[in-house]
Amino acid sequence: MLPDDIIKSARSGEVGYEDALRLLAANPFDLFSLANDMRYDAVGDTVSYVVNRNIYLTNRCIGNCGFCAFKQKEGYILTRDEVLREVKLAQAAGAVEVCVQGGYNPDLTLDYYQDIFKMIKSEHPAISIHGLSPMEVFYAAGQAGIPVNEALMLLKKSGLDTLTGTSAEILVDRVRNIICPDKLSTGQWVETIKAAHEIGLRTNATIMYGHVESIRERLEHIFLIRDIQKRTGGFTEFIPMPFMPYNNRTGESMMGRGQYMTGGIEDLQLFAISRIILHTHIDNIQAPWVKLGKKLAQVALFSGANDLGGTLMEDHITTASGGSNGEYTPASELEWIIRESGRTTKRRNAIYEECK
Amino acid sequence: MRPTFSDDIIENALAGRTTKEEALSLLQAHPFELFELADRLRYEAVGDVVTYIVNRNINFTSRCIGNCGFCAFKDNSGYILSTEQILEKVEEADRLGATEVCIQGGLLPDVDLDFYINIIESVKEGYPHISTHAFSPMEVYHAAKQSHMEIDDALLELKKAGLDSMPGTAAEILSDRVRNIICPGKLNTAEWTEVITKAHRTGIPTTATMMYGHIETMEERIEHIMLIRDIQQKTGGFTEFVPLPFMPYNNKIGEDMLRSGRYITPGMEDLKMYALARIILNTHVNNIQSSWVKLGKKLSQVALYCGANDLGGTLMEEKISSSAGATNGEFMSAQELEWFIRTAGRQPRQRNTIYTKVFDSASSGKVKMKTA
Repeated sequence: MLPDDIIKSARSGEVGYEDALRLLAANPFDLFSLANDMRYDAVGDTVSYVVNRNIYLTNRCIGNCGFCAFKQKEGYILTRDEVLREVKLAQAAGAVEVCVQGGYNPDLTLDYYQDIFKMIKSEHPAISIHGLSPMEVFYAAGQAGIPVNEALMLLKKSGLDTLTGTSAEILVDRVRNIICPDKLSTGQWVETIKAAHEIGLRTNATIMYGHVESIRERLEHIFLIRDIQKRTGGFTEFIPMPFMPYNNRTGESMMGRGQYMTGGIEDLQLFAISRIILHTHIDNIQAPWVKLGKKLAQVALFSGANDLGGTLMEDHITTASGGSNGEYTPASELEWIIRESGRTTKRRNAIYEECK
Repeated sequence: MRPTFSDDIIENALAGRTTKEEALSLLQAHPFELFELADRLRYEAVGDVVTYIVNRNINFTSRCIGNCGFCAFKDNSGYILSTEQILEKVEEADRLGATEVCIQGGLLPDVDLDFYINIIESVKEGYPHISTHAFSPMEVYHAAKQSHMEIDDALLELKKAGLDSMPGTAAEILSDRVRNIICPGKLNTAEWTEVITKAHRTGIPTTATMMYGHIETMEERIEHIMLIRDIQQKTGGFTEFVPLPFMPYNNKIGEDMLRSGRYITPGMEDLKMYALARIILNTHVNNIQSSWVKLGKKLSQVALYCGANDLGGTLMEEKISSSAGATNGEFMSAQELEWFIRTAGRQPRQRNTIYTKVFDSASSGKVKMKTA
């Protein structure tokens, strides 16, 4: 049984650091039950998903993140026509959103991004553009020699609807110095996200866990997301993503010392603790089937999650790191999973509005 | 969590007397309560040790005269391994520390019992220390028929040749209604039961399996598990029960299912089957295996909290599930299996085929190898 004082703080959205550690030490099913109750209080029995398509602008990247299996030295950069063709495919498949991301390199300037977004919007005004990570924005702004908030304003004006909350990995500089030393720091990630929220660009928030970080660092990350949300209210959802250790340096050195991918119980505990820490602050916790597998993503719906993410159609990043759960799940299958869980389906857009 | 199960249900579960009606009512409860009961029974039966086996699958042919609608492996222009090719695979398995080879294949039209005996004798001659876990009840049935022999006699010959144990596959769902739809050419429920019972009586232990999540009802799944329990009460020859979720890709039954808007069983349903199997078989079959090939590595670990106490084998190669769309790989190293067991808070132990022996970490039976 969980202590009453912790349940009380959880309900009011004030779980503390020590509380979280105690919850993780409890019987996992007690933790899952509490998270499941809080999920019900926050969003009821509706489980959402989005019909979308990932578009990777480039796999060329000057970064050196140790966990990346996607980046190539001599990679591709999509032309305007190629981007447009992918958006057309997305639209034909009923997508309401394209998620546009890629590596960062000097050829992808702020102008390139604006041009791409304007073109998508002029050809497909109904499609929502969810795109770019704080890293890509931070880098492009630096290259253009303008402040991040100005770059964000330009991107917003050119058609960017929401920014992704990726490149967060673990928001602790000790960890970032090991796994992604060239990437923006915790402080810079937070500044970029806050600047986006301030100009009305909403974002999601992610965590990539299960590599060199400690449990305490995972919790610090989630608490930091909660702090930002208290100030800006700009996060739409939180997405815990277990690290895929295959075909990348960070993963290989990890497996070399006998540490493998997180087990399902640990994943479910992280979904549950995220729901509990973020309760009353962020209502939506997404279970990404690409990382968890379809079967485990459904179990996460009983451990705090209320969203299954997107149909995707392409996921080069996860498959490059040994993700073996496929790149596409049709809406009918996501709805099957939701109904089989005894929940009601909701097709949503990036900001969780219902799409008919 | 306060259990809402009646005292009767819990008492019968503890005594190994769960009825069909009770099983159905257990499925109506909150799943976490079901898991908790199964976990408690698992602890009482086997404690906190979780086992696995270092083994290798060898599928000696993809040709088959069968017509099972769920099979994506059969290919009548496919391969047949020669004895030499089989022995090469055994050699490789031996080098990597395997204690078992699991040998199965399709049904060839022009072979008889001698073909099967030759495989076993060849393996045993070269590798007497490796356990031969081979031939489904369907293969044994086929071999006996081809040689115009009684099942008992065929089993005795196989045992004499060196067959140590048999996989309890070809069980699918042990209901003739279901079998007539998904595998009309296969042996029926009574024939499967007969081959298994006779194997046990010949001193050949077997596993028991159930392939669920296609056209069968929940009642039929429960009846299947209860039939396994009945057989076990008579023979005591089952070493473990292995629930296997159906993979609906690249096969006729699966394609019909997907077209009608039904997909692969969700994880909660899988976990419920593991829990229910533990409860129904309590005091009868102590070992419930969670199959990482079918469930995925992550979910198979979760099953350890829902009644399972074994993670199966390292496999090294796996053709049947992967041809039906399983994407969880063909090989898992002993180190990785132990990682998932330790991070579940359990004690890993490498076991032999029939769960009578465990090897400690210093044992030569331990493999150290890189991911293929």
